[in-house]
Amino acid sequence: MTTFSEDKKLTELSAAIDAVNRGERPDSQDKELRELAEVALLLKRSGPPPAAVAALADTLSGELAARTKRRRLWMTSGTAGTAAAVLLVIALNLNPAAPTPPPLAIPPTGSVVIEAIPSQPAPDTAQTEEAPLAKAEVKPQEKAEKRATMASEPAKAPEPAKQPEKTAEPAVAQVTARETPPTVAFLAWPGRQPERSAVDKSGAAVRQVYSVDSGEVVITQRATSRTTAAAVGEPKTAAVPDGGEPPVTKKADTKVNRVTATVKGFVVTVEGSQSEDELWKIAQSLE
Amino acid sequence: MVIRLPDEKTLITKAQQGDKAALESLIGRYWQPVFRLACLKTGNSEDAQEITQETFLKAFRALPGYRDTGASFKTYLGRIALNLVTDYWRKKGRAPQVMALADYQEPLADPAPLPEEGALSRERREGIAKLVGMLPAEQRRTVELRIFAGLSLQETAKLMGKTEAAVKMLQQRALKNLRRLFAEHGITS
Repeated sequence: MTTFSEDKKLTELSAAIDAVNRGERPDSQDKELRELAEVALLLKRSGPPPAAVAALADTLSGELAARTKRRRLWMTSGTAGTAAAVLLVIALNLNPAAPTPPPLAIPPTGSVVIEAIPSQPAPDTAQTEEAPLAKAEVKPQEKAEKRATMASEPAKAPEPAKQPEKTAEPAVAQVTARETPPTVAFLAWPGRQPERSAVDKSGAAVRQVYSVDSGEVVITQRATSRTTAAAVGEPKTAAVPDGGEPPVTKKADTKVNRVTATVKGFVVTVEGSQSEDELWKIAQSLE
Repeated sequence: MVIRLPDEKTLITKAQQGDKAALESLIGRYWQPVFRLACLKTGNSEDAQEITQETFLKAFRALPGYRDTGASFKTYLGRIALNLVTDYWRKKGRAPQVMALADYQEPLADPAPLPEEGALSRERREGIAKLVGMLPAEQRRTVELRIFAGLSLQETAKLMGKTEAAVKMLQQRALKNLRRLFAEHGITS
């Protein structure tokens, strides 16, 4: 059983412990009480068991550091992979062996301005109607280059027309913007330079105007192929081997004569004030 | 001289990267309030010790994903501790205590600032912990609850199933024994 003074001391000690828990320093006149309060303060300042805290910190430090390392490694790998992909794309784009569009085949001599021939829009192709006309300047190249281009022309000819041709006129209207523009390659009148040339925006037809003594000679060419010829039936224009005697479609006109023939894979229409024989010779002389 | 601890955000950032000193600092700062909460909710200082350790393990393992969403780190720790207390009671086959909404909003009491001199050296802390372990079980538990956990006399008495007078007696005996042990081992304030 505790006496009153002992009970008072116990209560004062408890109050001192409460003060320590509040972060205050206990103050007492009683020496023993002051010493016990100092012990309580020391306990409080010692904090949690250091061994337990250190063990916890060790465990967590290892785990978190390893996780951070893994994350960094993952991010580094991701960055490296992205960089490699970008470099690969750049390398592929810079690769000289990559296929490039074939060069344009151009008129044999002189610098000519090529104007677009107004094409008749395809009935079902609004895009053709809205497409702007092409206008470009083409510089001359060597004749041999032109021949080489001509040799590969059948593969570059436009796709066959879906409807048979009604006239021997170049089927410029059949060319739509949806078709892949073929290489511009056409025949030329040797020894002469066209006064002006015009090419259909799809590149399927070319019109050259030559100035001669007796006026103008207009040569219109349209690339064709056997497929094209078969599709159109060639009722009025027969293809003939090079140098052969072609069937000719002649159109009489009081002022302007017109001759249409197939020469070297091209449907050629020659118009002019010359006689049909002369026009025919001009057509045959095209190279 | 008051030792100023580094800014909490700085400590958290460092701890996320596995900095041991930062981890120790954060654990030391919040050990008592977490332990106090666990003691209050479990009534057992040994189980509370385990829950406290588990709270820090869970909290820091999830720390890389911890974002400052407005809740303080103290609240973050407190919620983890409360969830562990709930699990503790479920494992014991008993319905977990009903938690007040305030418990989840601010489960941890602010750690009391250390009175002058600040923290002790690790050697002294280890020595003190060792001497506390030498106390009789009831006295040691009284010290853990009253001083380490910072519980009130009434709370300690309730948790220990004793009267307040008995707890007063136990804490006095414990402190007298520790005063002797400290003197024997050269530990002074």
